[in-house]
Amino acid sequence: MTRWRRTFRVPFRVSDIDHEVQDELDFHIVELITRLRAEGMSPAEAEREATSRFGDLDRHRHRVRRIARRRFRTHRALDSLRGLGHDVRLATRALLRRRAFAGATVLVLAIGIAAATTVFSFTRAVLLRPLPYAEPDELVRIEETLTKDAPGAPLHRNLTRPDVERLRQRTTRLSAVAAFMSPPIPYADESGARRLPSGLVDRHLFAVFGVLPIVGRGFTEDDMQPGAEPVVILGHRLWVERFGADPEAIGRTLDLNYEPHRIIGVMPAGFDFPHGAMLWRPLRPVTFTDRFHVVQAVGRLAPGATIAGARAELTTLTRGWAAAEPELHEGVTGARVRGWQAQLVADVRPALLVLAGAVALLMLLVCVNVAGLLTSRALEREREVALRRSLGASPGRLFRTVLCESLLLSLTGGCLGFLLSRATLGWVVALSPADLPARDLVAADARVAAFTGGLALLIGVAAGLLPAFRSVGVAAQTALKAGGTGTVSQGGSGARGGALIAIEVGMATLLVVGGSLLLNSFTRMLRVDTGVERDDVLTASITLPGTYEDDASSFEFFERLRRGALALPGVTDAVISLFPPLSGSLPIPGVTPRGVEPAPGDADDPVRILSVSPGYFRMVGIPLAAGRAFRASDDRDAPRVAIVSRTVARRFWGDRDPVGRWLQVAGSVEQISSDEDEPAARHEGEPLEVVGVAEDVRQEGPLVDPPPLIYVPFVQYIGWFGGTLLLSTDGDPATLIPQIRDLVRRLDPRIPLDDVATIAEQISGSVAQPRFFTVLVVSFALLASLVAVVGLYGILAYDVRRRLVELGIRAVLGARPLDNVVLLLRRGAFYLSLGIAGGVLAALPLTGLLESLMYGIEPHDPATITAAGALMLAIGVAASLVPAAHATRADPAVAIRAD
Amino acid sequence: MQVLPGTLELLVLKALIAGPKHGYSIMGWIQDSSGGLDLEEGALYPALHRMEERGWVEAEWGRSETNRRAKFYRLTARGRRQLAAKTSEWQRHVETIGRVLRAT
Repeated sequence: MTRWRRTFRVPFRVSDIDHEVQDELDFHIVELITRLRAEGMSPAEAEREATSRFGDLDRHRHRVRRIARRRFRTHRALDSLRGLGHDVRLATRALLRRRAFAGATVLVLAIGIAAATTVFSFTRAVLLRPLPYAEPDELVRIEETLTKDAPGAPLHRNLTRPDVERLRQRTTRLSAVAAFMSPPIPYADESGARRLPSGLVDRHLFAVFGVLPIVGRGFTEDDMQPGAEPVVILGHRLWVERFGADPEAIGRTLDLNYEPHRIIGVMPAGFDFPHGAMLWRPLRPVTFTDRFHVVQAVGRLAPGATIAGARAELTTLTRGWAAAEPELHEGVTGARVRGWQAQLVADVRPALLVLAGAVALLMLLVCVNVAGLLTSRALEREREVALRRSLGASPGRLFRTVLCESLLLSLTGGCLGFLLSRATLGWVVALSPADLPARDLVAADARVAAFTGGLALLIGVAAGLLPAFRSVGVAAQTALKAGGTGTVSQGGSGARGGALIAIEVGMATLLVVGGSLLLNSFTRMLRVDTGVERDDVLTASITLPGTYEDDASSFEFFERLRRGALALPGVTDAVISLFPPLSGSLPIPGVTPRGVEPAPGDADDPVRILSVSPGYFRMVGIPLAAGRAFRASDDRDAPRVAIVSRTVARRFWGDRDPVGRWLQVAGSVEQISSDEDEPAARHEGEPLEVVGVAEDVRQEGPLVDPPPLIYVPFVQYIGWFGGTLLLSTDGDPATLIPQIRDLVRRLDPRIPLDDVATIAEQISGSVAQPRFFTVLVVSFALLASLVAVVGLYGILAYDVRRRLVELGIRAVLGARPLDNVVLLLRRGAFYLSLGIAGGVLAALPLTGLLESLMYGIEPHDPATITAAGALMLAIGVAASLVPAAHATRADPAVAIRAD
Repeated sequence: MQVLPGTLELLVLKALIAGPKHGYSIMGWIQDSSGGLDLEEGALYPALHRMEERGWVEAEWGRSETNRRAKFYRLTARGRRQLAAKTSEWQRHVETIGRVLRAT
């Protein structure tokens, strides 16, 4: 049957079919004429008779051809399908025979693809997903740019409300401009008090986004007047959760910011600008919004306008009013206009790009590795290939078989990689910093699966092409002439293997250098000396409602809170401070030491103030260098006292002892509320007596240098808008959190308790982003080393097998086993060093990209780079030892027979 | 006598039951055994190719008795089953028509 079919399959082209049909019909007519002639007809008669008996030749031929062609095409299609199925079966069987090889390759692929898939899931959610608003590309953020003269000053800042107003009136490049702020707002209902993300917006904000309330109305000019009735527009979610989507909610009131607000409208589902806002209130003109640069501006580009065009126009406008109002706009040089999406992800973009680069490198390495493994396999199989070729397998078919193997490996690896990425994604998301934009949207969905599939296909083809071409090349040489005895193509493959080693090791080195730098930088962040010795202190920040206006009621609240906390079981001490340790302080520009001229430049880095109750220094572990701590007797009626940090002491008094000297507070303290309330001016002009010197503390954040800081007693300087309760405990601080919440609720149910965390948790939160990227890049570096080791091992092991004869002969000639090991190691070490050197050289210009992610270490830190290189060398030599050790077993007799 | 539509295939299947034949000899067998049918000989070929497409017959090039290159057809297993089915179907058909015609 097979023979029958094969004969049948001879035609290759449609034209062959046409010829066959012609031949078949011709035969019939010729036979017919022959018989008629034999019956005695003349040639002419016979031909006429035959033609008549046969009928319409053209019509019959046409019909037969149509059927024959159709049949041929169907056959050809089925054939290639059968061929493909055959190839897949062949490849599967071949791979199953070499389980170790296939397993190692699939593992390498799965790990690499999983890494790439995870990074893609993040990149897609954070960088590639468009904002959920109409025409998101037209949305821009507008800021002022400042001169670079003042060191440490920001180069860009927000605007004042009147700035945005003027900008809207004059711009032609923007079709709409709106001003807003986004304070989390205290909100109370039956279940208690909490803070909701909110928008404090002017009446143009909804127009910028082209959305209107679905129920009720938007803000009008009247709503924007100072002193007008407090009103609020609800977000869709809050409307559904609190009012069950009842349209009658309009006109009812909501308790916000400790006062009732009348509901005037509801926004459509999905609208949550800015930053997940759940409700919106009018941004009214107060000193805070009109004199301070605290208002954000969002605009929509006019049709045909570009970001660059808008920037040019706004720069001209900004300079105009900066000249008109120099005292409010000192140092303003122009405007910055950025796409809203771009500025949203600006912070994480470099880090994500580094990750994408690292993963691309890892993928490339995986590709080279798989290509290397397949090539050494193809070399091993040369005889099989040559045999198949001589048995009539076409070059195309051989090519397809090898490619099939590679694709089978890469697709299996792709499936496993996707599952691996999906299984670990939750863990990676949990590891990612909480403030990563669109963090909740990171998911391994269909698009990600499509990406993984495409990637696997690409790898399969890329890694398979070289070995596939090679097997065709081998076949063309008809290597069977080696007579079934020799290993084919002795020369050449060694150098190629060496080049592969060098390339793989080089790429891995590059990643290991990057990973080591980030890891080094990260450990420096963790080891940074914050100046605070205790990190298990529990901190609870509290913002007070405006009804605690006078110092007495505010202080009383905190005293009751402190005493209540002290009574809780497990609490050993309780103190109050304005802010938690390592979390900020207030700048006071006008502090001078009495009798000493302020040095020039002091104004650039103004002294800052933090009020704390007695026991603070002992509790958080800040040593005093001189003088005394605060005591209960430093009360409201006692003389004003202060403790200065070492930096302040040095700045004002040099080497002299500051204790007993006096500080003059000249100006008012800018206490800025995040809301529309007026800043307060207090504690003016009163001299403070310095009673102690405290060691420096990184009060502005664990990664910011210690500021010049003055401590004052909490009771003498009460932060009327809030404070922080600090507790030391003799058990697990976390178990106290519910009791603290309960305590606050008992004292005043309106007060939302925002952040309760230990100092250690705070520090951990502040390094969440570097930790995330460090963990990922370091994992990629580890994976890369693993992949390179697998590749190195595979190539060397193959090399040893290939040279068994040579080694055997050397053994016969008197070489000791060790000589053979050295021979092999030397060769491996050469390419290994070449790779490491190349990797380090390539790393030097590239590590600069990591600069923005690094802390306390230069991107070219020689010690780290050297260590990374040495590590790679050690790993490489270790990986070479095993195959090299095999060479010692090169028993001459066995070795020679092995061929 | 003319061939009824659809019966040519039945005749071809019957012709091949004794062994492989090329088109010319199939036609010869049909005419000999029928005692002369009025049939356009060329019409045999579309029928043969359609049957080949359906897998009732297989074809192979070979040498004719006159030593010419000719395409030989032979029955497949499916072709045999088809012959059996078509034959009994044909007989039932003839009997039914016959009964009708004999009815008084």
